[in-house]
Amino acid sequence: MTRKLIAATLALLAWVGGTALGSLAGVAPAAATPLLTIGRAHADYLPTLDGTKPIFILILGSDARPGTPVDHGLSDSIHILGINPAAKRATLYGIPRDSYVPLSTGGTNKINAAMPPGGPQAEIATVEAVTGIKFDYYMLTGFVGLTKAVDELGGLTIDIPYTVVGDIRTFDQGVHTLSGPEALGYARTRHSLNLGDFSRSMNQGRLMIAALQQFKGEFAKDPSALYAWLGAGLRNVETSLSIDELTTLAFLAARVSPKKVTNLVAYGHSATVGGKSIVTLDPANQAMWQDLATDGYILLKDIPAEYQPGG
Amino acid sequence: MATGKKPLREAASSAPGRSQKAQTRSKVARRRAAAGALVALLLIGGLAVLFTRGGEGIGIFTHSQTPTPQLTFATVKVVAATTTATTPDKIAGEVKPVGKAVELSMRTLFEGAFIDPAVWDGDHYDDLFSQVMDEGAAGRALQDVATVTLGSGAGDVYASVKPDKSKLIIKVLTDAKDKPVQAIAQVTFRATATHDDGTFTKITVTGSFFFHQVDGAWRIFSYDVKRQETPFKPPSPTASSTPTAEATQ
Repeated sequence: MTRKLIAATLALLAWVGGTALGSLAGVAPAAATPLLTIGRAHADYLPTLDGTKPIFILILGSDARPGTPVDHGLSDSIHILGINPAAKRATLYGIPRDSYVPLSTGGTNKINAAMPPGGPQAEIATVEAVTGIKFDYYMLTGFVGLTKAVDELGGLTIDIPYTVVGDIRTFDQGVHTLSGPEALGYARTRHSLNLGDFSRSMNQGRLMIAALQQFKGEFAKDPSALYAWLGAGLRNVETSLSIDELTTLAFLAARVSPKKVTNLVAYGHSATVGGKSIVTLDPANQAMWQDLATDGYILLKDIPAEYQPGG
Repeated sequence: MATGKKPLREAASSAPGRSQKAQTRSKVARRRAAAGALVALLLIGGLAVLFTRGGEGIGIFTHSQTPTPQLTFATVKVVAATTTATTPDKIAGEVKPVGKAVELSMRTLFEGAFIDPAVWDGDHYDDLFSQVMDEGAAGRALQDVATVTLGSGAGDVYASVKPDKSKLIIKVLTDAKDKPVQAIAQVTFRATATHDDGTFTKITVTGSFFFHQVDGAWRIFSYDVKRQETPFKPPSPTASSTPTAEATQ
């Protein structure tokens, strides 16, 4: 019995001693390879929209001169922005300001004429009736708003696809960082462009895609850049979007590649009515608007060759 | 009076046969007691070695005994980000309380996620997240636990984590009435981790945490976190006091 006890004790002693020595021996010098070296890791969570239901925003540019409220000027720039959150795709569909359509305020006239008497809501109702697209939100700015917004952001960098001779300067083909007045000048230039107002509308879409590109880059580098963009936007753009909704959309924009944003302008034909130069919209637009209303985006490959955006 | 008989007690104790047996029993009892005490001592020692995992004597015992170091951000800056023509300095007082609330949440998060063994050793991250995050962010953070915290099972790897100089910048977004609606906390957290195997690493976490109000409390609703961990050799205590070769010449 005693021997068994001694043997058991010795065995226990050996085990405990071994464990203790083993753990002491395991104390590596500080320079030894650590048990875990994680290196670099990254995680992010941007709560945003991910459903297939498309979102539509009507983006309006007012020509209001000093003394006229921005929301009662002519809406010289009209763009439908469709977004499909799940597909991370979007489409900017410009509508020429001279498009001759029935107005929600009564009668038939150029599409930009709905806003002076009825404000943005009248313009929205007019575009909805023409296109069949129901808008969730709108954004509206004017000459001063665009200029200030761009300046507050420190300029807007854009890759200009072809040289544009503008009123204030020539915009050579290539990458430029435009100041507020320059961005406005580029957005307003029409006379020197091959397709006049159609090309101008395309260039306005290019500015918006450039803004997306710039926002993405700045947000990726420093997420607090979002507040600079919200500040510059809300100070200079009138919108029905709340700050929370803008944040959600900004998080979504951060995930959308500018390459997945289709930029096009409604196809139409120049004509004259009562001595006024107008645009009659081509019936082919209806099919594309239906496509856009369905899922929030149009792929370039789905646009018939004769209607492919140019200019 | 000698009767030849001994008193019963004496007789009983002095009886030769019974006395030998009693002596033998006594020896066995003493040996058993000694062996038992030894075994108990060794068991306690062995368990202590196991639980403290050798090394620098760090483990569950010391986890509960060593006071957890508190995180104090060396730099805390709170600024307003307005959406009106109001300049940020004009509403500095308005956003200050938000900055305090956000700073407290960031301290709670980083102390629990990296410094306090009661949280990371026990893998109590879900409780931690629900204290400072809204439901969506807390749910997602559990999936990102390896980056946002020391990770599940951290207690098997880390012995202790001591915070180094860390900084925090808070921007408070205000609405059309110049009232706070959101905030972003941008943190650079630095710490030195001691591993159970006696090695050291430097932990650096940089991140942006968006806050909004949920039932009156400021909660994280979005985050972007980068974590870096690199091996580290602490300076030897003797090396610093040893004169350099040049100085001795």
